[in-house]
Amino acid sequence: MSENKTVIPETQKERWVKYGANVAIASVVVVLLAAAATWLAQDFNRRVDTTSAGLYSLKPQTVNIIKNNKSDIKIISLYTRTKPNVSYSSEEMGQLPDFAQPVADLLDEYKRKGSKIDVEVVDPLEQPTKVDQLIREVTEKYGGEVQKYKAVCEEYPKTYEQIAKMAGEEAKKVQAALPEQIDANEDLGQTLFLTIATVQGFPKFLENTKESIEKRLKQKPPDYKGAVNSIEQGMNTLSQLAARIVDDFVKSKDDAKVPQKIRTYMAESVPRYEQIKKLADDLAKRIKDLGELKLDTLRQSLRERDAILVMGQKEMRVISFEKVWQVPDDARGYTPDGKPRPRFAGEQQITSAILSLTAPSKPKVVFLRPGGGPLAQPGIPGFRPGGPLSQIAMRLADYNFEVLEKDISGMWAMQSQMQGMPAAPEPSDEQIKDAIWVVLDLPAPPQRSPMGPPPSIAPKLAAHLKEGGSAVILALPQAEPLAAALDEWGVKIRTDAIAVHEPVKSAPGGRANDFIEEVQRNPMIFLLRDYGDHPLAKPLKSLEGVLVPMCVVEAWEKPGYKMSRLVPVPQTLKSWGETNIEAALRGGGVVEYNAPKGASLDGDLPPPLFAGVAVEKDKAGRIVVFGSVQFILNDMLSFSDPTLAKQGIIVSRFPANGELFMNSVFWLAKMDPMLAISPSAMEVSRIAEMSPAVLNTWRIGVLLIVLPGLVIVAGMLVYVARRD
Amino acid sequence: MTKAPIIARRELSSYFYSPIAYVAMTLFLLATGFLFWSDFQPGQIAAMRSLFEWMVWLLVFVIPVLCMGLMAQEWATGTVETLMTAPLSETDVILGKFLGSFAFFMVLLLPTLVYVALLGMYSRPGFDYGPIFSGYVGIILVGALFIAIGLFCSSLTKSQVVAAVAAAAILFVVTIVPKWASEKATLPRFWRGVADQLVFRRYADFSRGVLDTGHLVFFIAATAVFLFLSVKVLESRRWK
Repeated sequence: MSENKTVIPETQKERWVKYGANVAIASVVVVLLAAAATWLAQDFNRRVDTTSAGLYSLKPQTVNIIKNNKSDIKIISLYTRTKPNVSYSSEEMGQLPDFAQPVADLLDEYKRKGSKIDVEVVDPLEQPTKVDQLIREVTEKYGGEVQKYKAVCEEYPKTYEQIAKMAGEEAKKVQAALPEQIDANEDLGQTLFLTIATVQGFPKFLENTKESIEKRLKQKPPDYKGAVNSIEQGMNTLSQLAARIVDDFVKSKDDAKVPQKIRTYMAESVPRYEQIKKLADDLAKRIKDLGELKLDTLRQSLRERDAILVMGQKEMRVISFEKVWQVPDDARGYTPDGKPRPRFAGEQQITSAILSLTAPSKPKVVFLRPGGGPLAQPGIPGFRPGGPLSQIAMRLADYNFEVLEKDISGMWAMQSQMQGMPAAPEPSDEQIKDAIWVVLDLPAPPQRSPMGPPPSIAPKLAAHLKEGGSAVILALPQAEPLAAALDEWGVKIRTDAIAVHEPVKSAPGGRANDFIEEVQRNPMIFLLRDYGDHPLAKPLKSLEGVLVPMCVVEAWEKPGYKMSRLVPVPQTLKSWGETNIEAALRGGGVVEYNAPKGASLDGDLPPPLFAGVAVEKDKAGRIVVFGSVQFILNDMLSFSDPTLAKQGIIVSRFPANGELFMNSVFWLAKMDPMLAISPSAMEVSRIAEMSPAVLNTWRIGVLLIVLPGLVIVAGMLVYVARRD
Repeated sequence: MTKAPIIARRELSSYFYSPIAYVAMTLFLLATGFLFWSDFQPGQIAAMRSLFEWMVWLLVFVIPVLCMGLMAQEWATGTVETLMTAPLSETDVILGKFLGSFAFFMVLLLPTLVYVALLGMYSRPGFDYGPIFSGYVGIILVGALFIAIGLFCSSLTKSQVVAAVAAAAILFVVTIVPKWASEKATLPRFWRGVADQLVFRRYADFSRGVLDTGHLVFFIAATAVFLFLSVKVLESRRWK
């Protein structure tokens, strides 16, 4: 019977094993479950950037680029936290933002979003070991060039010794060939003295060059580039000297005035000097054929400090501090102290570097103007301002576009030639065939040119579009409507009508407080927040922009073409298409709506109106048309928000302007994943000025006395109450 | 688990009856006051990021002190037997003690809202409350994890000092050591990856204004693991 069985109690050891193992297994399972939950949550994570400016959100374009990237990229911040690399006084230093942290944070975001992206933060001053590792990595990765440079540095002493030996022998021979006395005033005497001095100076010259080379090779990382440059320089000098000696000797060896002994030496020595020259030339040529040295790029960035390295599989890019923390020169005047805070352009620069390292080819954009000088040419800081379209051209270049410019009439080149200042060469028709055209449709100049009016751009545009090309067309009032090119696409630019609104009624007696209200007093100015429903315009909804003046753009459906209207003219105020352009542009003229009358419907254009259109031809090109040019001029793009500028924060007042154009180019280039806008970055608030008394009250009084004091008082009260 | 709030209430009130809580709170406020001092000056960025990061350092030492007596005292005085004769499960006890400490930790953080108010009053052009919110979420999660670790250490020993030192050592190893290690150039890639998975790197995202569900789950899961282990330690008294 089972009831009668005696139960043997468990021993202590058995209990330990039984329950202990149970707990151990349960604990391992729980730990594994927790790890699995964390791993899953990390893999399918959702991140919310709580900063109002979206400081830690990459642009959707960037995310698309790095998600589609298939090759390994390493991004390294070489920012040092000790002293920023800018010329600020010590007082201002305390006011400066932390330049290193935002870069490190940004790199984190790249790592998080891109599976093929690795990032590293190296402070060159604090972490010399990491710098050594980096040098090794660069040397290994881009070792080809380093090896070539190293080989030159290792082999040059042989050539030097050979030349030094030959030069030393020549110095002795020339000394022996000299007569007892030479008249130094004669040409011959001078030539001989120079030759002796030069030949005898060869070994010393070579020795000095060698010392300078060795010094460079001892640097960290070795300055191969500098050393090789020194060798090249030395060889070029030597070659020139040898060439001069050969020339002199060839001229003088048959001169009867020259003593026979010297003439014999000259005749005999010419091949030897030619040999010296050949040795020098050969080494110099070998150096010239060396490629770019990546290690030197790294050296440069380590010397500059505060740089970012973007390393691809075969190439490397260095992004300087000035490119990442940009201070627009034209923004200085807006701020009270003339010192606007640098704006963070890290994402733009890094993304552009990744694009340039990974894209198989560079898309082209060409600005086509109907005459006159270049408009998109970048300026030279401190010397020459950029062209009025240089900022938008720079934005395109930042996204890895090759930006070209062409005067379609060819007149600018002729005018410059006539003025004796030849213009820079412009691309040929063949070179711009596969580019996206940015057609600047400007009115003909009022004064007649001796060469006649510029030719119409329409036929060339029509041909480009027929061949499947794409273009963005920007038109000014009174310009040619380009009907020959655009009719086929179902588009008509009304360069004879501009969008206007009824005057804004503002508070009587002077300036309105509101900036927007003030600018809108001008009937031509509309503040835009809606740009249409096309994919290129949708992401810009609510972003403020201004197109001024806006020509009306009409469009109609055509079979084989997909059309979408852009930039609806706002109707919050009564608006219409004013055909009395002169009056509207003059500003002072009477602008009022004249309804269309008669059979020809003469008069103003009734709403709804649009200032742009995007059209796509089936299996062919695309066009975007805007009834404005000014919206992408530098002045409009860099127009700062006056309220924020007073606080030293320079942000564009009309950020949609640039984004609208960029999105149009992205769409035309069929780079649809790039259609987005970015949150404006790094606009953080600061603690306002207060008197030292107020500051100390808060800091000492409240932070260090009142708050801890209250806790102590509470503790004492509890103690007293409990004792009672 | 329905009894846990009763234990939590008792635990919370016991903090306020003990001088150690007031001392810890005063020291914590003095330390955070000094840290905020350097941030709160005209021209500085109106943010609490550096304060939040320093707070973690403070908590590595403050929380073990607050948690050292949670279970160790019960073991030392033998009150654990009395406690366990009450109709309470081990889970109730551990959860109650955890919630009580966690509530006190919240009280500890409460005065730091004065710093937020100051920044709100003096920042121009406007104050960004987003990173402050995420910073507090982060510090609360870190606090919860640290309390769970402190409670676990306290449940292992009768000595409060041993419990405090053990907890501080663990917190140091999971928080400060990986932070230092990740700054070392020679750290192998694998260990760098491990360091990135631990407390500080994860917390850094919260302090700069990013809420990441991956980090949220990590802190909650790690807290749950230590609470589970504490329950198992408490249960072990039955079979040891």
